[in-house]
Amino acid sequence: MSFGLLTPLFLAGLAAVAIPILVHLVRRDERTSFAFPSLMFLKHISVREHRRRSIRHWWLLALRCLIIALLCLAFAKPFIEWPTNSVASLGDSRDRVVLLDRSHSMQSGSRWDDARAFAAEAIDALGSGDRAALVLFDHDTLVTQELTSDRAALRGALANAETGHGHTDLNGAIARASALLAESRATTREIILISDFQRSAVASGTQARIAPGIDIIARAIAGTPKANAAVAAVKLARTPLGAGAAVTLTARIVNTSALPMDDTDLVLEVDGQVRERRMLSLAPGESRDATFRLVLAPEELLRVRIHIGADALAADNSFHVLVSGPTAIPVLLLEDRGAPPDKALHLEEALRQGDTPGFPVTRRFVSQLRTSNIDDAAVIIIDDAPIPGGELGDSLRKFLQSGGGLLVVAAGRTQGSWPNGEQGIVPGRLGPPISRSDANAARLLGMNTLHPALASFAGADGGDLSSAQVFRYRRLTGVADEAVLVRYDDQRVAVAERVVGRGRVLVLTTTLDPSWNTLALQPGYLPFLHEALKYLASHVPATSAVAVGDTLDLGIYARSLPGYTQTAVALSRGAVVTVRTPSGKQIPMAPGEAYAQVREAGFHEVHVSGGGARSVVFAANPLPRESDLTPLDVTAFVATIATKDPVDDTGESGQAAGARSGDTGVDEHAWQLLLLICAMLLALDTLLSNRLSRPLQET
Amino acid sequence: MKLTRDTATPIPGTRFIDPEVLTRLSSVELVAKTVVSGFISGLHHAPYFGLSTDFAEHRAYNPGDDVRRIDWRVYGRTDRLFVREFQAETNANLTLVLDVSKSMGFQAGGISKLDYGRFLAASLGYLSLQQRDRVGLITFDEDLVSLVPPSVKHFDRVLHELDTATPARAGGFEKPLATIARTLGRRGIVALISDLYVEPKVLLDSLTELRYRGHDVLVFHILDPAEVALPEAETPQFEDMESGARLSVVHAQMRESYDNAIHAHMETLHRQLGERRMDYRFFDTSTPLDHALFEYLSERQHRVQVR
Repeated sequence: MSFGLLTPLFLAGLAAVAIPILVHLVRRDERTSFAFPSLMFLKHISVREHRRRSIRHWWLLALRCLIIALLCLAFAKPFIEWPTNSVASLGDSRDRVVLLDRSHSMQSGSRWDDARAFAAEAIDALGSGDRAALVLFDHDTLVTQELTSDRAALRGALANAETGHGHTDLNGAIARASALLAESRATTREIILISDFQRSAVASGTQARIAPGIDIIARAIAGTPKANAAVAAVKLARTPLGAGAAVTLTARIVNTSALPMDDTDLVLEVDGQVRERRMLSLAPGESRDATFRLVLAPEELLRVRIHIGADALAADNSFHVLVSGPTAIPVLLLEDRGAPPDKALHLEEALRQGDTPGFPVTRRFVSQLRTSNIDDAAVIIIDDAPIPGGELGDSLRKFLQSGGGLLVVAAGRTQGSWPNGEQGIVPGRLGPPISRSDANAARLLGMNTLHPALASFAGADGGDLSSAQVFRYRRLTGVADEAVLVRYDDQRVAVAERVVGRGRVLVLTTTLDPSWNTLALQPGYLPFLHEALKYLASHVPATSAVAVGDTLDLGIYARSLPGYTQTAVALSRGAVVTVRTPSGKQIPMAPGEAYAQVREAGFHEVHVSGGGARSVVFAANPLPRESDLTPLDVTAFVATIATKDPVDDTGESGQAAGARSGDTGVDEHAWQLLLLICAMLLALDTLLSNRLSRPLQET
Repeated sequence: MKLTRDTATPIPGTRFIDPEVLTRLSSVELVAKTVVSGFISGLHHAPYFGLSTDFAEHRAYNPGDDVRRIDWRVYGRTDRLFVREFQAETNANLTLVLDVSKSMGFQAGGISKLDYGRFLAASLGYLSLQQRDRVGLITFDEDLVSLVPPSVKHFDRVLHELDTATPARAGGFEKPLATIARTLGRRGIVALISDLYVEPKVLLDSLTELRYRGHDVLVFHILDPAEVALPEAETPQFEDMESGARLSVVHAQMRESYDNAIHAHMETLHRQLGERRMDYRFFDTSTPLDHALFEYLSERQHRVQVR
């Protein structure tokens, strides 16, 4: 049996014992006094020194000092520890959940081995009727063994346990363990939490609370401090270079330890081949940026890995990125043959701006349109021209149904049929043009900025189209309110939307050139066009890497890659998918399921069945915060999650941080007894003080 | 010389009345009568100590003088006629000057100093009245509170004022005694009854003025036994009844110093008042009143006879 204190810092409060002593020495009883005829003689007698040195009621002073001392001791939370074998021998039942941290930081040094040793110790310490469960956790929890008294099964589960690449989420793990014990009827329910208790481990998630009656015993694992650096992030900057692109990779390398890193390798690998190697030295806590340049052919994808030399934690030494060239949204611009040659001048100029993504434009007269032209485009703009019908109309409809986008600029040359039926592609009924005088030009108001195509116009800092003057526009009626994106000041429709299959159609009832309005002269013209086309093309920004623990929508991801449109379509149509992890595991996905749970760091290959589909590769990396091995205050953490008082251990050595393990029992209720004693002593003190302060004589 | 009274020594032939018993009597007058009658009866055939008939001197007989005042013994020795003259031909004025300051309200035991003082004043007054003296009363604290001019007929008013006197304000001596000196025109006896919490010099200066005006000054120093020996109160905080000032008192360390100081004060008063031919007498409130009167008047008579 041994004694200890959970929060020994509270013993500093013993200094407060000086307070009653000082009070007894210097206190003047302002409340009661003895009325005396005259102090004429007394005031000439110097007794100051005597008075300050004199303490009346020594035993009352001792009582008050004792109260303070007991309070300090109670707040220090004393505990008594004894071997649990004695508890087991009394016939108590015990259910224990062993929570074992397997996040990638546990790969550092001997942490994993130490942690497993403690887990084995906790299992071996079980009595004959006791049960235990083994739960591995990082950002996710995995119950490898439910509550059982079968020690062999527990040991087997522990033997198969491996570290992962995930980051630590202590709150989630504790919540899961608490749920496992919630139904337990054992007299002793406890959670053995074995972790390296990184500070970042409680950065996310809801603060967990363990249910009353469940003890938590924290075992902090801390290896010998070693130097550790991490490739924390890699940023890409693309610039067009001919048909391809030049990509600048900026890698941030951070020394997360308190020890210097001298002459470590910094290596750039592209598709498994070492391209560049540098030497790097980092002071404790220092971070540095290293820049590499690559040139990509059109639609080329490069698997790039930037890594540093071996250190305390290998999992954060590499950063994987999939480098692709600039993405583009091919635009097919259909015009009326009779239109002026410079009609699309402003439109083309606006689409020429920017490269994330770029908008390569192909111009065609409607009369020259071929089906192949439609298939090569992501977005088609029918700029003040008749909407193709017949076979081309069918192709256009198929194009839309498979996810293409169409912008119809309805103006003076938009003649012929307006395919707005169920098999049509445009919304509402198109009416004749409405003219407004220069002095009474229409304004674009009533903009639905919640719509993704117009989100950039939201808020006070957003763009503005309301200053544009519109002199003529086509009347569009029969459009549902929710399909109207922009209205004129007379509430007539300016922009409306229709969804066709997977595709989207926007109709603008005035021109994109300055013939009917001043829209093209407004600052908001370019973002309006860009955002509208990105929306129509269902554009997704390129993703160079994801974090372990993320869930990746493979369809959206494929769409962000240049040249993977067909793969994205196949994924959207329920193609069969198999994910090959960096460790070589083949994970088949259910048909129609195109979401990948990322559990490993490295390059994952996604094999997609179906005609025209290509394999997709994505890169995954551990969260940088997992590289930060700074421990949190375990005492404070356990105190916050415990409904009742926790039991915790902390330490910095390579050994288990605390003396208590699975073979010991702890009683930490002594503080309650101490508080009770304090309350009784306080009552006694009050009683005695009142009696003593009662005046002896009333004058 | 210690001025504390040895109450364990009874005076034969006197009947001492406990002051605490006197407080149960309904009126001051009754107290005075009780004290004085007991006092006189205890004297048996004791000589009359009246002051107003004290012999002063002889002078030559002049025609028209009362022949009954011729001293025939002197004529027998000298064959010349002399008549006897007395210090006061008429009844004396007794002015009772009673301190009614707050400190007089102190009462650690059975009777307050003010009660004791008013009993003493009433007794002196009653006694003087028996001698056909005129009795007046002045109460004061920091200023005069009430004034009853000396008169044979005003004793009821004297008793009423004594009965209603209450300690209300802080005390002082310079101003009220100077006023009294100016107010009392006819020479007489001034009996000051107070706890005398004043520097001796201040008191002497004030009383000397009365003395210079021909008054016979009697000073009755009244203290509670708890003032003579520092009491051990429950709280160390002592509060001055008049100024409200507070002081922490450590009984063990201060008792002796206090005793020395208060006795030095009393001795100083006794010595310096005596040097100026003023009578000083100390009573504590546990002293029986008739005992106090007897002791004092016996001593005074002895002194007059010597004179």
